Amino acid sequence: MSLQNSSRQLLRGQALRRSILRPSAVLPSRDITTQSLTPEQNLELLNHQRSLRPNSPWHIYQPQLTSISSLANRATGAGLSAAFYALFVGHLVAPAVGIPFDSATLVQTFAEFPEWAKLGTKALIAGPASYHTLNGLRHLSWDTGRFMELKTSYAAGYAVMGATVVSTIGLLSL
Amino acid sequence: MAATAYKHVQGTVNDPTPFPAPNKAHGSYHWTFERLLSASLVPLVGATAVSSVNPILDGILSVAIVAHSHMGFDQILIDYLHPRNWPILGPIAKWTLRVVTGTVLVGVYQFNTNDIGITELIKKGWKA
Amino acid sequence: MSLPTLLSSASFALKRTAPKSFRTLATAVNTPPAKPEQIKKFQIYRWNPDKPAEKPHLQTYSIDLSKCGPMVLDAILKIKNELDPTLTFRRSCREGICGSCAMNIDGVNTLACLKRIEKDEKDMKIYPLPHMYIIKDLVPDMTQFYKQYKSIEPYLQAEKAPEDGREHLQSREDRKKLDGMYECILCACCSTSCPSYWWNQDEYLGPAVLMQAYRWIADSRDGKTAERLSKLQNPFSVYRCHTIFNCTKTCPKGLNPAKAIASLKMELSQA
Repeated sequence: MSLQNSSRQLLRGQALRRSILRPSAVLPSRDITTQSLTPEQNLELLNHQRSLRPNSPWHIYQPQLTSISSLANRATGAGLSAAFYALFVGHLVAPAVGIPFDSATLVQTFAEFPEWAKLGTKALIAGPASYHTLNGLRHLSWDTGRFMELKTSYAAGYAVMGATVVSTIGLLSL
Repeated sequence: MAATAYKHVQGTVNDPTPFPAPNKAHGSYHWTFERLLSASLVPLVGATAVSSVNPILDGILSVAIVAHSHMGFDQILIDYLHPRNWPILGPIAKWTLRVVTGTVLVGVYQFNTNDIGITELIKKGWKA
Repeated sequence: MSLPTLLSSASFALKRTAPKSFRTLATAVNTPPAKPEQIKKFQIYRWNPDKPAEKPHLQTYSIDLSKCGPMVLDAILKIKNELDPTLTFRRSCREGICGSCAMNIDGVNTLACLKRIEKDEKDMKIYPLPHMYIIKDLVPDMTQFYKQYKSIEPYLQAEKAPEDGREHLQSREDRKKLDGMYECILCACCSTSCPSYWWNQDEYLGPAVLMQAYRWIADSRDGKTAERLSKLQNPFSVYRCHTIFNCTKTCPKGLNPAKAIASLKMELSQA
């Protein structure tokens, strides 16, 4: 506020003359000190400051169809592949430790599951497989340049979600 | 003469970021192969749905699935567990994946030759 | 002194000496009614490099929206002017063309000067651009981003001098190919919305830089297409893009980096 008042004074003649002859009479005085650094010291200071800087949070980003559908594609793919890998590594390794792992045993063991467990397991395979395949088709369309607008990509995403539900129900009823 | 180097950036703030040596095998060839393989899985699975027991089809499908899975896992490792950021865990993960994929291929061959094959297993298991 | 001069100096003197509260009937009748007070809380990310041991935290400010402009930038300027002068952020044009005020508002990267304040009761959360080193409060360190932009050589490299010695001519169709890419203001909203850029910022170029790389590859006047494409032949510069599509969703200028990157990948596969 004092600066505003003193600038008003400057507009009036007497203060103008006074300020030219003795600036410190009008403007507030401050002790300003500077520190001289060599370029190497400056770089050291910059490096030190950089080492202390925090990384801004990414988890605050809003989950959207874009990122969630992509993450789901990776998760379903990884899950299905992990099961596939486990099946065939098991087939090789399990007999060596005395556990039978041939197709007849597997089918027999599965047949003896309670109904809810059978349905659950089949759903856990049909759901991710349907989603991954349908979203995979969406992804291959992108790679050929189709559905690459925001609107069309979102529409395709919703279509994939709907088709996944239909396909899962269809596969479960086989 | 600078006694300290710029930290947290490569070179100075005015230097462009460097590129690694160009290698199409790891660049566009890998990407194109990935897409072609993914696309081929669709008719392969479709064929198993309509055909009767066929060990050759099973063999091709299984190898395709293993290759697709391996490349998928590889991309996950490059994204999250690359050796440049994980100097011990990264290489371990990379080689574990390669060994496991090799093992799966042996298991797949075994299963297709001495057992009923992947298509029959799923068909039988689904109806169980 | 003539009558007009006398009158004008008299009215000038009247205005000069009139008390501030003096109002004519006209102004008293035509003043709009005072707007009802509408308080909205803003939670803003704070970190002070002068006190680096203090962890980054959210600070809450209350603003009367009836006394504030409509955009988020108006709100944070009001906070800086009236409540907390230490709040630090970048800003310049206030019209969405310079890209300085890019930040994460309510979970989405956008420009503060273009984002309207929602007139609801919910707190508005303002963070800096995600997964960037923070210099202070809402100011990220853009060094790596600019170095990456420089690496793609974002300037015309023509094969030879133009035929007429003056201009590199270009057809309308060829010029149209650049629409939707040349308008990029390099605000970094897209790159900092990309999870691949979060995890691999040092090697992956990010949507903004990749769109500009494609802008120069698609430019018919540029002669270095083969070299430009060749530099990108590695697993990281382009191929960390898995078409997550966050970039196009968040671009405050309505551009489509994802599409440019898809075109870039197709060019690379045919190179």
